[in-house]
Amino acid sequence: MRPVPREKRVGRATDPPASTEAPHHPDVAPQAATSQPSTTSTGLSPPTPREPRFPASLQRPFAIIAFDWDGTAVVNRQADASAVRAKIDQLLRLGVYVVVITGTNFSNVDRQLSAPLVGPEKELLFVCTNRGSEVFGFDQQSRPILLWKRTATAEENRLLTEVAERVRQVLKERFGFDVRVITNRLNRRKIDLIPLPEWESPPKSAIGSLLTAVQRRLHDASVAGGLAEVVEITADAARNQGLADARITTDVKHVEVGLSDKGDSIDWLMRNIAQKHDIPAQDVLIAGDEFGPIDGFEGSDQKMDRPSAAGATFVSVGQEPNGVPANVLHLGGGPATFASLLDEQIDLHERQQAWYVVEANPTPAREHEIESLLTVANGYLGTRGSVFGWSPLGRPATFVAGVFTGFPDATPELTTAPDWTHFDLFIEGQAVATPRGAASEHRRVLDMKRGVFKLDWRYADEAGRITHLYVQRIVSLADRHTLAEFITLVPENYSGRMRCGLTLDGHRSNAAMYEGLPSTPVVGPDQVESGKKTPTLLAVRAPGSGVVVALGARAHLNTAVASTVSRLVQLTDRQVVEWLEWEAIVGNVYRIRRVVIAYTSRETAEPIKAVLDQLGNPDTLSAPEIITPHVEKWSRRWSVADVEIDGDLSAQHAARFAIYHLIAAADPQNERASIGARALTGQSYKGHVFWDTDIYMLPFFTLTEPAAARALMMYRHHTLDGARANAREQGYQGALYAWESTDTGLEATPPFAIGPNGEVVRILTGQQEHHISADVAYAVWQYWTATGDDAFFLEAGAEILIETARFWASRVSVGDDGRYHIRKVIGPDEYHWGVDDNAYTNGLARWNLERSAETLDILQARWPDQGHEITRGCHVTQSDSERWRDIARNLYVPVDSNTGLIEQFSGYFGLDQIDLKAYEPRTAPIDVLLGRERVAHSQIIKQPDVLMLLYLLWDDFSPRVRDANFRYYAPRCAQGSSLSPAIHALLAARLGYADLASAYFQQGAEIDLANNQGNASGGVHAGAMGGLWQAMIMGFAGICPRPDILGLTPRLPSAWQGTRFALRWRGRLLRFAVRGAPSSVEVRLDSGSPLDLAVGDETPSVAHLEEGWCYQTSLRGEVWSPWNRVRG
Amino acid sequence: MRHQSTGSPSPGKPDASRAQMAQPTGLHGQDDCPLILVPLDGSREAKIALPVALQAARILRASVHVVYATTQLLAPDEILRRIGIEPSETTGLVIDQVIGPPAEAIVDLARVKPAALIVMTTRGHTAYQGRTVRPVVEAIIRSAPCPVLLVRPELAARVCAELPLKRILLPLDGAPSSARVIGPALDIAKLSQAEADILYVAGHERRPQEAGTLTGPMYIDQPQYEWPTWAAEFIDRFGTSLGSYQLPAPIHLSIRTGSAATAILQVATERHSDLIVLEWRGNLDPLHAKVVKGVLADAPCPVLLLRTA
Repeated sequence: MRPVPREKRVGRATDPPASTEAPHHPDVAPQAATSQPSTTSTGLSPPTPREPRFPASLQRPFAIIAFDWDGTAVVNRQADASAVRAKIDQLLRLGVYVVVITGTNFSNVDRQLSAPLVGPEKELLFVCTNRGSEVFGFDQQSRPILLWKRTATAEENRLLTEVAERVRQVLKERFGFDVRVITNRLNRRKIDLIPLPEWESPPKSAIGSLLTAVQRRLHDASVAGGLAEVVEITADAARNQGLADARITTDVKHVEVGLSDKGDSIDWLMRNIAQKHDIPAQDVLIAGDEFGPIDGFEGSDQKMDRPSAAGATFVSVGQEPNGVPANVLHLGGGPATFASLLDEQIDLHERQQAWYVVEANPTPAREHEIESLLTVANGYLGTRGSVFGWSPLGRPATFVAGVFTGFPDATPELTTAPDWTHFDLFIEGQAVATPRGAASEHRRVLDMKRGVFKLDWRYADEAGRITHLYVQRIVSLADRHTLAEFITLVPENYSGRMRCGLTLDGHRSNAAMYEGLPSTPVVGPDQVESGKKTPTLLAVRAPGSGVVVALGARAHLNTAVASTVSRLVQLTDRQVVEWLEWEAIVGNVYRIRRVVIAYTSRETAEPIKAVLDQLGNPDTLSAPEIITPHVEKWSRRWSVADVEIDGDLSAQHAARFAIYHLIAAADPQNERASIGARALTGQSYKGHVFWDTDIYMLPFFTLTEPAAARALMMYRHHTLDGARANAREQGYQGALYAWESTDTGLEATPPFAIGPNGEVVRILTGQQEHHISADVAYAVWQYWTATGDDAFFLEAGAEILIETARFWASRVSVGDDGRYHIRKVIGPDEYHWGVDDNAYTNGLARWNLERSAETLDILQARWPDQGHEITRGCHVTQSDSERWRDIARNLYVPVDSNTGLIEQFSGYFGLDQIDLKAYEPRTAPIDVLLGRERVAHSQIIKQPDVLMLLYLLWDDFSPRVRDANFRYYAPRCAQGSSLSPAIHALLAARLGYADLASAYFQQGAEIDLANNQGNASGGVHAGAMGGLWQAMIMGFAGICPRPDILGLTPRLPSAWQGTRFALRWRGRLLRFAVRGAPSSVEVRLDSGSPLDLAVGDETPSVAHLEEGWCYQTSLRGEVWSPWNRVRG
Repeated sequence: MRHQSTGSPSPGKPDASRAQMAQPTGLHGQDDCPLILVPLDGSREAKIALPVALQAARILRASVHVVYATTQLLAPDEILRRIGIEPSETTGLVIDQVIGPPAEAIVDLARVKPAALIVMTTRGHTAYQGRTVRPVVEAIIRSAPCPVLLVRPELAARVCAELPLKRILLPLDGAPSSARVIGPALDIAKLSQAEADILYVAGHERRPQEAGTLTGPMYIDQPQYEWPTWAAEFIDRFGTSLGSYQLPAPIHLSIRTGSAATAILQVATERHSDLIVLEWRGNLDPLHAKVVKGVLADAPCPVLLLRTA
């Protein structure tokens, strides 16, 4: 596990409120289109990628960087350290623990390095001085504090002096060799072998000549064994004087005998920094300049190679004339190399930060939105990023996909499962509560790479007892029924009774209590024997659907440190608490592993039994058994899903955030649930499923995880009966999908809403927003053509295509003009309702009818038997295909041949023109500012409507029509939906308005991260995330999946130096690397059969890709060069 | 005498610098008997503050001190004569005099006592062209160490010591700092068993840049969900989260658009508000406190200014 990053510049969830101003539109001329820089500054400057100059083992960000000071970081103690200080400061700000390990005293290093550093990040700096005898840290005011000190007893001091004196005597008596003994050092004595004025303070760089001088001096005195012999004499003296565990080192000039060495510093940092934050030794870098032997005696830095740091990376920047031990990487070059090493670490950490969402400066008012952003989920279950339950501000919730609560005459809503994250902590009988400000440190982080929520918390109670709490929470992606928390508790400055209550809390659930286990409270405390105790369990039943949701838990405290643990289980009406109580000892690290298993009656008839069975097998509940496959699964998903962006860290972070939440939203194994508008991150929209899933999210899954896309499409198939019922209800045939869908597919849109001032607003979307049926058909076709999943087509897809076509055939009416019309609908632009011939609806319906007619033909040609069954089941015959084609041909979608404009609906062009820019900036939706009626009578639109049609049916429209409509409609859009900015970004990119595209992209990226729509508290906007991914892949990279060929035309934002991503396409895996100016594309067919790929719109350059080969092309002027095939 | 229920974390004597602190000065955390100052200057208009002060005293279980600023020591009957109060009207009143420039002397007294509240009319007998409040009042509210309750003299006919306080209007701009007035305001609501109306005015201005700001929803994607969610979040965020107060249910939330002052006055009239509670930052210079000035100019009820900066 990684440490909690302390980054405050990137990836924060704490940006100031963003501007909601719309980007400038190309309403004058495309050339005039300029991007509107957002007022949200992420404080980022694009990183300058450095060419890696170190071996691969150093090409990763280390969480702890520990190093020797004199000779490694600086030439000597008089050197100007400002340059290395600036780098160290940067690393601290990036959340890296920096540990200076030196033989000298604190004031020397403080003067040179730490005194000028100020800021909260200084708490991550540690200075280990006096050869392992002291450790200094810094408090919140950046003042030094002594954290640990090895104090010699009077007896030890006496022995040290005696040993040094004895060595002096022996050298004098045996060889007539004069040395000087230096006694005023903490816990050690120095024997100066060359007490001459010219060798008073030799620089490290002079070590070669120093060695020669010392050797000559020893040789002249006939000390045959040289330096090693002096060391041996010292060791003998220590033994003879009875000084146990004497540490003897040499820096050539001196031989030192002491009670501690740099190894003690390493032990301290491994115990007090690494262990507390679960940082493995692999993430520790230890640098020095004297690892190798000098004159037969091991270098002083070699002491840092301690068993506690086994697995850490050791590097030497010293001259090391006699080489270095095998596990040390010799770089050489002195402090200059060390500075480059730090530069590279800074670069690596900056990139790393795009993997985190950090709540750096907690703002209580933002609690609910932070909880949404930091949700951990796996598509089956999601848990909001709440803190452990002591905060009255939080809104913790756990949702299980597809489980809805439905009361009669009420809108069904996603069930909130019992809360499993709450726990209570008592120290010496006193509750640890979180009144504001009581926590001296409070930091929440979402590690998106590994799908881990982390909370780092230090708390001082009124008695001054400081408790450090570190929680890691996962909702396993490997086994979707497994949830776990790993709680680390450290009593930092006290010993006392610790009592921790781990809860399954039904109070947070909106479902009825079903069962709690153990069914009777356990009355007395007993000894905890891991794995043998009855687990706790709480099950609730969702009203309406009757689905039972069962959660069971098993907790384990590391009994190695807490030898006597008592356990007490309390069951109240809606809560089961498992209390663990033990005597905590100062400085000990207590780890509680709590595994929770969840099942519902949707996937098994006996969910409680399933929970207990899984909890009954302790072998599967160990930390590695849970964490390793989870992290591996995330890693596998990212290996295909990640979109890497060079040159724009803020875009990189937004991309990762979107992709993380998309991955977390889907469950390929569950065909009975789909992704709600806010996925599993919040209560908003009651968990209902909209067209967001089919149109905005689906392409991400289709092209990166087809199994998840298939499950989403199967959900539409399983809810086909509901859709048929919806159509019947409104007097139509076929399938009318629910505008808001739940578990049944029946329309779940509430008919009324209460407005902001108590007025009743009629909600017509459930009655009129019929384009949803064509959206589902479109998604089915996209999935099928992108995957070639014929089994799906036959099992489900064809039926959906046929039933939706039947709906449209019954939905159209013939007008006086003899053409077909669709009247009284709401298009994607919901500011206008009850309109006739909405362009998007008609356009998609026409497309639906055409594809469905094609479906009948395909069935007959390729699978006549199965096709016959399907068509018979849907009550259609081949003649229907002709009828559908006829309707499609005559369905009204007018394009003005002069202007190229498509009228959004009948009469739209006659509506009032209102200049939206006149209402910027604003703090309310435009329909609130102007009133619903006024907006309805104007050309202001809520989100892309005609433009959405252009995007989805891109090849059906000429470049002139695309451009004319974009320029007309984009300025009229009030961005009244979170789905809107990303699609504008996509189209702007495809049409060549690069800066405008960037501005829209940023607007879309900030919807949740900066809460710029003001409603992230109810969950993240999953549809907007899918839109953002499409803006990157279909917009900036310009991927265009066509029936015959996969095309791409990259148009990267100017800030992007390049992007890398992968796509799955018809059973193949393709990896793309696109560079910006000058534009180039590299593509590799990782796996799968040969495939053609076309780059460029006008005169495409086509590559015939073969497995295992790389292909390159670059833009020369306006033309893409022929592809160049290379091995790779 | 009942001890005031308090939402303040540190009961006890507040120090004089509290007005400068970010947490607004509440009406509580005082001794058992809080103290209300009513500066009177002898004008008929100024005296209109007296029944309002008595009403506040009843709710807060406070004592009322009438303050007269003078240049030399006066006998009590002389003070009464100058401020125009009959001895028979002084039941329950304490008469204080301060010597020196009125504003300075009154603020000093409020600090020394310390006072929980100063009650004044916005204008006295002199009409000041173009000014919403007279200079002395302006000077007092700039530096008062406690909240100031202001009454327009035109409300003479409406105000009465016996009137119950039924409805409190609490306009918020969505920034957490402005929402800090919620605590003290809800304390008053609790003490007087009044209903609280929260008003959010959206407009076309920039949203406050403060972290944690929640302005109106930028869009209403699906009104059936956005409005309830937004309203719940708004009340929760500013009511529960920041105030950590138990809300007297139900709280009524309104959203209006346009000029904030106009909207506040409109809602105060429509909802028959008895008190408007405004956050204010201590700056009455021409370009500041537009809302405070606008509301004070035409408020249909007394206005309580709680300072947050």
